[in-house]
Amino acid sequence: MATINPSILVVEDEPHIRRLVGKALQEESYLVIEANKIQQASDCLKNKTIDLLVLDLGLPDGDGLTLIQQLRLWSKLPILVLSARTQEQDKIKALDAGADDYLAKPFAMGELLARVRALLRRSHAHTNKPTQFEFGEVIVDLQKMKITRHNESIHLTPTEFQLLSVFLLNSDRVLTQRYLLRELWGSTFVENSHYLRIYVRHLRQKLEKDPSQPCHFITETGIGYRFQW
Amino acid sequence: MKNWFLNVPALSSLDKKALWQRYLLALLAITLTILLTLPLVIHSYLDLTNIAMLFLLMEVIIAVKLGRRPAIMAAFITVIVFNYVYVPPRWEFNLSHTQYIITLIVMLFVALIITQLTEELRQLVVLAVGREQQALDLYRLEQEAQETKLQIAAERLRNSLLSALSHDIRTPLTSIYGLAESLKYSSTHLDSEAQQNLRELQDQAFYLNNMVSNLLEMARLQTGVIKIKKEWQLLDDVIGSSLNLLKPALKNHLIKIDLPDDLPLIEFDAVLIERVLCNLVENATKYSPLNSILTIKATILATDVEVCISNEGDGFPAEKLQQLFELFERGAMESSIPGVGLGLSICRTIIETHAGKIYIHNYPNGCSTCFTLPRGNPPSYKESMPSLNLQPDNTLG
Repeated sequence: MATINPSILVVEDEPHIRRLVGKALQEESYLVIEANKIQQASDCLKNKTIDLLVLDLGLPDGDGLTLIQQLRLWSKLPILVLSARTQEQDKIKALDAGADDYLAKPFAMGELLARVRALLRRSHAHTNKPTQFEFGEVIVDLQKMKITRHNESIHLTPTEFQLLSVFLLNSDRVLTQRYLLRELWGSTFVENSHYLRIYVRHLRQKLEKDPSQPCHFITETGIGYRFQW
Repeated sequence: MKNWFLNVPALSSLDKKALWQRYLLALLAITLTILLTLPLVIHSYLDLTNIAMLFLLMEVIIAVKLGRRPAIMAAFITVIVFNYVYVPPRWEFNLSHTQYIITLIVMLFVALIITQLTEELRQLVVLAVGREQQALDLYRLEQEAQETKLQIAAERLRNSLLSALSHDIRTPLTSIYGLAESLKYSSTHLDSEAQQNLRELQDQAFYLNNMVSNLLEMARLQTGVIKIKKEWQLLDDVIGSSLNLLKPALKNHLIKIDLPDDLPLIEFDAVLIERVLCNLVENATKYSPLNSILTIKATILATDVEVCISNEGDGFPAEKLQQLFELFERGAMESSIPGVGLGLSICRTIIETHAGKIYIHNYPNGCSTCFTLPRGNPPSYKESMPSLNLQPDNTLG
């Protein structure tokens, strides 16, 4: 981690939740800046150094979605969306617009902190571009295309390997079905999402400790998948 | 547009009849007039002028009722018959009197003028009826447009109302949940009772959130705001994500998952089936002792796949089971059984929209809630799976 504490912008119009989130983040010694409107948030983003954005979607002066779209024109700042919306379409829209992760309200603060840590680690690691990864009992070397589990070599088909590398290089982000299908097969197979499901199942069977209750290849029902360490 | 013509009642008798029928009718009219007037002339009750008048009347009627061409024919026949039958000497042609040419001309004129007038009248009627129809059509179109607009507006309203409701209920829930959590972590010394209370507070907030989700989903399903999004899914995928969502509620149970290896892809809406699984698993934990085993088992049947969630314990008491099924019968939302009723009735709604069935089995030492989903014709993924040529150099960038 960087020597200076990362600064986090929390955009939330509900004062209780803003205060709670702010306090929890401060206790983890992050620098917290709070905003309750889109206008205020975009001023902060332009004038201050921000390492991560925690964003509520429904704000009094507009939709958080527009802020994501504007921000993504010039910045790769990690975005964690907080949403009380239930409909998957809203979440997909936010993710397609460039949000990295979302948390549905009500959420456990521990979960929020874990997601924040993961996103910060990710954006930090991004500059290093690692090719070696380790999760659970598995060690992956993307460059050498070698996967071992319990020191035993695991064979993956080319598609499985490609999917695994997309997951590893985008860890802790929610990847929509459409995104994954396009990454793997181009836009031709975007409608055939069951291919994706079957390959994720293969990866779970080969790499998860308990494939029926996965810890790393997590399903975000109706949206897509997330890889977590 | 053409059919308005036929729909005009006043003119239908004329238009429906073929031309030859109208000629025949004209001939009949002439014959009838002759038969009526001949005795009157023979017995000298009427003089020729009045006879001519009667024939003129007949001509007018023919012109109005039967149209132009039968009227012209009638004019010619009348003049000939008049000359031959009525004008002395009777029963022979008298061509010396040129004045009968004038009779003929008058008759023809009358026929032409009358038919012309009738024609104009008819066109006016057609026009008027057409306009009326047009006005009606416009009115109907306008009304339909208004109705569609209303429907769209109502749907949008329902949608935004449900979203607002979801937002307004979840926001305080998030605060309650977060406040309880912060109390748990920040306070330096809490006795065990206070800690227990905090845990309860969080658990209740969690259940309340689940209940709100059920309510909103039910409202969406019943108002038709939700569109079912069926895709070919893997059951294990949805079971995994449901258990992940229920983690806090499952901490005191052992979960056993029993799926056949050759379980096919099943077509369903993953979000909705996830809700069903969450509800059934949560119910199963509520009515079973701590640290007991909870089984999720799938079986491939002839046309369906059956999924059963079973728990150990006393099972549903018989009268409660009855109550639940009554609730199923009513399909009502105004359940008096908190939590369970709403949860089960939404499960039922979801499963039935998937053309499946849901039922409860009670055993001596436990209980199973099962639902079925039709197998349909799953895509044979082993053959059609697109293969990929991996080139190590460009995949890792």
